[in-house]
Amino acid sequence: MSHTPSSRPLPPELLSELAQRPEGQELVQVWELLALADPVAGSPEASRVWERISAEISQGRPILTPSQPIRVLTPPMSGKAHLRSQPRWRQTAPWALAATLAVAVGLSAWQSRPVNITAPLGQQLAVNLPDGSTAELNAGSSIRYTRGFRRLGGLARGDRGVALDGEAYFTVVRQTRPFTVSTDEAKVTVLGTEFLVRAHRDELDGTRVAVQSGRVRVSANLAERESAVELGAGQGTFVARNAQAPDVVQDVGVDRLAAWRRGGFWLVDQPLSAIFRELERRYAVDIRLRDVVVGEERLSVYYPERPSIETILSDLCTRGGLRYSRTSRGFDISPQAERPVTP
Amino acid sequence: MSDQTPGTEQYAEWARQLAVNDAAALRGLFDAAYEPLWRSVMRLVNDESTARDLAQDAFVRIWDRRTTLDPSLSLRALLYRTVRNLALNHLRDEQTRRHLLEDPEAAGIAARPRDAASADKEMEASELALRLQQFIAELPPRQREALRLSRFDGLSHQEIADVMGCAPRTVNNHLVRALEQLRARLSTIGTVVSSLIVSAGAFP
Repeated sequence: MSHTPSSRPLPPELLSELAQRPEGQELVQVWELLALADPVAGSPEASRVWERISAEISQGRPILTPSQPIRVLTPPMSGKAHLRSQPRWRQTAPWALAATLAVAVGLSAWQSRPVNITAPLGQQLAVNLPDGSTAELNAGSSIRYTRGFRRLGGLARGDRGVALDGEAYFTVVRQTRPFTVSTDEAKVTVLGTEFLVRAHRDELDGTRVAVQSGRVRVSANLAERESAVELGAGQGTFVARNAQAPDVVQDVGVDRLAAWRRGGFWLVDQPLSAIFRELERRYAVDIRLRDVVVGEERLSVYYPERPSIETILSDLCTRGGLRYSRTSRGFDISPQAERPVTP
Repeated sequence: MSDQTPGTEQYAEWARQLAVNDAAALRGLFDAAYEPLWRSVMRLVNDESTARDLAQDAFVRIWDRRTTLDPSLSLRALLYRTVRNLALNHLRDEQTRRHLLEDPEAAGIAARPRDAASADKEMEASELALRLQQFIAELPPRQREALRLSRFDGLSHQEIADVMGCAPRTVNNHLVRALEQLRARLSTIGTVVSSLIVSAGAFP
């Protein structure tokens, strides 16, 4: 009952109309009485909303979460040549230049060309999307976006769409327009939430989705009939490569699945070959198997705190009866006893 | 329009500044208009966070259209019209999505027993407030919208006409009919009303 507009004067047009009516005085009383009937309660949170507005109209700003060593990228919005194909961002690459470009080119020149962004091997990248949402890319993952983020006058009808190859953790700003993540196998639709999608083209057999908060909808690209599932917080599903529907919804530990965001390394129930590929991406190394045949055995590994690659390799090799040795570009894996490696 | 809100000239000035990419004008507009706008959406969607999102979206849309704003139209009316359409879309989507056919709160009010005892001189102002809200909810949609924009949002007849896409004269008719219907409904809960008005101090 706070903020009732108790003393709002009658609009002049209404007053002169009521003055001509026999029951006019009573109607004026009703108008006054309505002061009681404005029940709005709650907090408008103006400063927070303003922050979100400025983020949105400036096409996103860096977000920095101190606990995360992930580099932040706000891609320049024009279709510059280096962004047309997958960019090779280097360590001290032209961040300043990119930022200056974004400002100089300005809002008006923002073209609806596709933007491709890849987190280099060995590095993670937080990308600010034009709507204020963020995508944290694990090493070696790429996203691509174009339509839907662009608002053309009143024509902001399309979805906010991102295509993903690899693994990313999305924090989506709530808007009336849906936000979608497309992979080879699946489409994930949300309004505003945090969730993880993992869909490496070169491994796994499909797309994994896990939800941290909010609700998302997952559908298989090959679905002939309506087969979408809805995930709530703490739930996950998997869409296999040739599946026509997502798997049964399961409870998942999202923090663990997304352990990479805090430097951890966590894979569950994966063949050794997949774990090696993940290590290659995360640590930007080549891992070569020397006279080793990797079997079907599946393993789970979980390192919550920034493990060194040698810690992980050492554990894996101990378990598998293997040994590893350094090479110029990474590591060789070989059988433990019978054939010692010559460096 | 009430006196503490910025006048028409200020809104026209913001519209001119926005047209030349002046982001400071958006800030001025936001500071003046956001809270009342949020309250207005709250009356439609009855969820604070959704109301924040929709109001936010309305400002962003104004910014997106800043170079093509029609200076002859009130920027304030445009803001309310934008947020109103967003809210209507939202409510429609929400209904499809969640199959929420009834607003439980409104249903609760309607289900309230209307026994004689409550229509008593002891009836509290809050009880009367609930009744009034219920009566407003039962108005025809156009009348209800005109009434809310006028009585609660303090928009001028011309602004309401711009928001609702009708003539100012029609706005006046909506308001008169709405007040008449409310008076008729109030009379069904007894003669208590006129004395309550006095005791509630709402009527000088």
